[in-house]
Amino acid sequence: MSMPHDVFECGHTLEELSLYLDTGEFPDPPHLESCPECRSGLDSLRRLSAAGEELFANDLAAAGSGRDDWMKDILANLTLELRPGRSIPLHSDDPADTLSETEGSVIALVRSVADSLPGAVAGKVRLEGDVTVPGEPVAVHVDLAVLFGHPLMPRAASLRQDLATALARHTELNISAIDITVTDVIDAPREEL
Amino acid sequence: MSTSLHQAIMAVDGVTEVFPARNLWQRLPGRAASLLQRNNADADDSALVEVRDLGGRTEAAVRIGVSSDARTPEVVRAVAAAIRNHLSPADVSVKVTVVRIAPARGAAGV
Repeated sequence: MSMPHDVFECGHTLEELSLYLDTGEFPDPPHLESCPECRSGLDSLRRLSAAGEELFANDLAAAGSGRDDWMKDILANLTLELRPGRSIPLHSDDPADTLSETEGSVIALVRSVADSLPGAVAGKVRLEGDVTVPGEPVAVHVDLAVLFGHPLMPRAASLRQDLATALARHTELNISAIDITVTDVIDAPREEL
Repeated sequence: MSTSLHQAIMAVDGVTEVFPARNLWQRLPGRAASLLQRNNADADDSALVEVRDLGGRTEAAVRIGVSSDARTPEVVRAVAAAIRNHLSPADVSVKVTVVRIAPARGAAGV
């Protein structure tokens, strides 16, 4: 499967990260120690690869069968999301201090929680609203690809609760809604009789 | 001072990593300069904690990773307090940015 070539702010690409996971080769190995966006990208690719194996009993690279549009979409979204994004303020005890977290770190957190749902993989993740202003309502949108046959409604409710807990633990955002949309239902290949 | 300050930050519960205070694109001019001046090729362009004196006031900036088991806002405030305590009695403004929220290293590695 071809990988998106869009370049991150650090100058590297998802394709390079994928190659690193496959071969251990990377143009600038020390960079992987010091770049939080590339680290989050590697985390996501590992989870995606594991999900691909679970869903197709196959590996990520071999998933190019024409039935992998959902994975192409996820990879394209990953490229967009692996950026620092907006700065989300955190309350400070001292007015001279500036405390914040990047939007990219929060989106990676949301993605990791969603990916932990069995039989599902996060697609697009968005924070809608002005996250840079404390108290402004922010809606979280998560698109999911799920394996056919998994019970959706109870799992969506459980995921919504897990996301609310994680966001309350790691942000001071005023979360007004957590919208979960199943955008792809993946029909796993069946064995020929 | 930077090393001991780094240690003070890492000692805060919930901090998993300290990343270079500046993004790569912000460090590139320094890298280019050190390549042009070969005698300066080993210059440190990736300081983990940036401490500057701005007209009598000390400004400290750091980018950190926080454990997904911790509470990020509390960790960030504790880091700011640790930096302030470390640089005491200087007049300090602290900038702490969380750039990664993930399990502590060792659970996943690079």
